[in-house]
Amino acid sequence: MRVKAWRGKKSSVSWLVLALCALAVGISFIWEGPRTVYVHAVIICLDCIGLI
Amino acid sequence: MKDTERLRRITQTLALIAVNPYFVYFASRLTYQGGLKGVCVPGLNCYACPLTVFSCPIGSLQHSFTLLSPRVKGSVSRAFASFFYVLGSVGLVGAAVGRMPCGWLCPFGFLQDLLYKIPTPKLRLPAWTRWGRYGFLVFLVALVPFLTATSWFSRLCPAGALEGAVPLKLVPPALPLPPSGWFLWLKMAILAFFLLWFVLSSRPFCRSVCPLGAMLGPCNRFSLYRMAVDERSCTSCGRCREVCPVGIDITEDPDSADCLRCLRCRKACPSGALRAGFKIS
Repeated sequence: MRVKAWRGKKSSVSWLVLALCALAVGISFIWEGPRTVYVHAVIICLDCIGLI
Repeated sequence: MKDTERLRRITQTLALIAVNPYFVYFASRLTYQGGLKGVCVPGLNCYACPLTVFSCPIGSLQHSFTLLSPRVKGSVSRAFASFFYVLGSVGLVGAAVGRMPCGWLCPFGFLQDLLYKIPTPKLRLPAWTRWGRYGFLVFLVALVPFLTATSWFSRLCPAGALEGAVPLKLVPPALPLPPSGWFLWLKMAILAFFLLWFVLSSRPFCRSVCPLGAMLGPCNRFSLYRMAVDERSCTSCGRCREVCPVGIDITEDPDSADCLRCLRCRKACPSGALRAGFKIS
């Protein structure tokens, strides 16, 4: 079957990006990235609901 | 096609409930404060919604840029940390399945699918409107919040109006909110405009506005989950294009950044020329 899609390096690029993203998430933990997101998310975002 | 569509509706409904399960709010009038609020969902779901237990990736990304702003002092490390966290979280999903969450999970995409079913004359969107979502990502999510230290995409976001402002107005929280002014009415007008557009056009927000789609779309080019066309089986009947909610010809470019991976085309293809999966043989 001849498929119209880029096959060759595709999987290796996916795995590379997955690894880089996992690394980015891992690094973000050092400076409390999830904590920063959490602290912002638990307050009711007045911008989101138009009360400014 | 009905089987795929039914499965997609079930998935979208379950995702909507999974992301917004905090019905305790109606009794306590307090929003969820648990640790899941630090986790970004791969869909547009406002974290101001009183029922949600997760975080919005676009709101969080935008907040990173406001923290990075020269107007905000002493928050650079937190800004980079949350920037890497959000970008990494979205990238993990994108590298695995590309834009599939847009087609199968996103609550705002689900709403668009439902409203488009209302029988009215329909409007086709010109192809150039797809560039709009990249503009919104660069300007309203990144550049303007960086320069002004204000979350302007959130201020204008219709998902925030629908999932945050409307429920909080109808069922106010225990802690009093500031009084509403003219800006709330502007936000409601934007929401009304988009709701009307959802009835008239198929997935207009996903195609032209959504910054999350702008981030996930390019991942279709290299994601582990992929689509392919068997050129020998394809009869160029055009059925795939007819059923595509974003009006693309998948046979031209199976890795298109516009493709929501909803798989309607694959099911509609009479010759079985379209393949999708983590392994295509």
